[in-house]
Amino acid sequence: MKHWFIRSALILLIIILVFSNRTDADLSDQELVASNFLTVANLDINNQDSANLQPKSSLFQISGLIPTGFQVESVRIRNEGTFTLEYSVQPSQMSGGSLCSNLELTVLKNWQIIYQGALADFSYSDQLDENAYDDLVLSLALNSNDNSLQQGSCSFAFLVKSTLDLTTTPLYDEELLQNQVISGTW
Amino acid sequence: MRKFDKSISFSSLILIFIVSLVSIAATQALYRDVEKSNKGTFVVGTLDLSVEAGQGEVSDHFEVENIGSSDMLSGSKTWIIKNVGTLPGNLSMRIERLSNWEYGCNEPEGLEDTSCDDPGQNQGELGVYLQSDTYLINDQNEQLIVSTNFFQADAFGQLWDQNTGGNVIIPPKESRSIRMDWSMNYEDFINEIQGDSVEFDIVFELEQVGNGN
Repeated sequence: MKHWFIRSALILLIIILVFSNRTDADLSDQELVASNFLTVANLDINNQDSANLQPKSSLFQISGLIPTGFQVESVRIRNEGTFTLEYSVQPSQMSGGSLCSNLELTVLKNWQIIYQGALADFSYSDQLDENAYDDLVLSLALNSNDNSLQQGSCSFAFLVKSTLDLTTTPLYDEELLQNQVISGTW
Repeated sequence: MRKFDKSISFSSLILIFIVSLVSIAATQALYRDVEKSNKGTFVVGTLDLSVEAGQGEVSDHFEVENIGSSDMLSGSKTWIIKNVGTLPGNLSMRIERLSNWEYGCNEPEGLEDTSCDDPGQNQGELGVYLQSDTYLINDQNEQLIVSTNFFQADAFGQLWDQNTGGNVIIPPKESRSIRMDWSMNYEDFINEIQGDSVEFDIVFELEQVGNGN
């Protein structure tokens, strides 16, 4: 009986030793790199009435314009995005023939003249920081007294277009300021 | 009588054998520990990964704003995965808790994205366009392991297993580097993704290589 016990114990010990060498203990550890966050820029430009900051979609609405006559308008261009952007202003959608080509534009920024010349040739671009704005004062005039310009019509828009920096990405925003000019008789 | 003893002895042996097998199976231990990193800085960090329980490391994470600006068109992070234990480990990597956030419409986005007025988790579109390339670096050897976007979290882990064969062994006291690059194609910067975000966790796991492996 004693021999039987010792023999069995030895066999059991051998079995445990053999199998314990094959024990598959799945020790593991994890590390977490948490809260990775990537966000795309927010690009938004707006035209505002410089008096009350309400949205503005039109500038000049002139009826009966005569030689030496002019009108003055203003607009505040504001960057409402999350990053410094570049914006450009230029006339577009122009229709009206000879009256359009004879209109002259003067543009002031910070009361400094930044453009003076033909409406059709106007083009301006600048940079705006986040939440910054530019106030533009524009004067539209007719200096020619050519009789063929009487009772003419010119409609056009100022296209205000913004991008992040005009070259890197196609993210953009566009705003239009509509204009209508009708000449009088003289 | 002697025959009877033999029979008992044989039965006992079988019983002992069965008990041994059961007790061996019961010893399979599954130790796990998860450590979270605190908010990090922009410097490249290291991550020491141990099979020892309770060891956490502060690691570097992505925190990128204004993607699309001239200096935010691509980027990368590198982590050093170190086996500080005493056993060889098999390294795996996966993405968890992936969210594509939509925060609402600004004017140009609203003109192109009909769903941006329903903001919230997984309402955004950025993950479709944001590309990631993940490299395993061992000394001077650099191997592209996973190339995918951030739209489905499961895809990353599946590609890791598929392209490594589930076999990236790090011997004790040795390390490997993992670099994840992010980028976007120029034509993918559409107004539909303005202001959208991608948020995710990266999980590195080192699992012991068994004797049978």
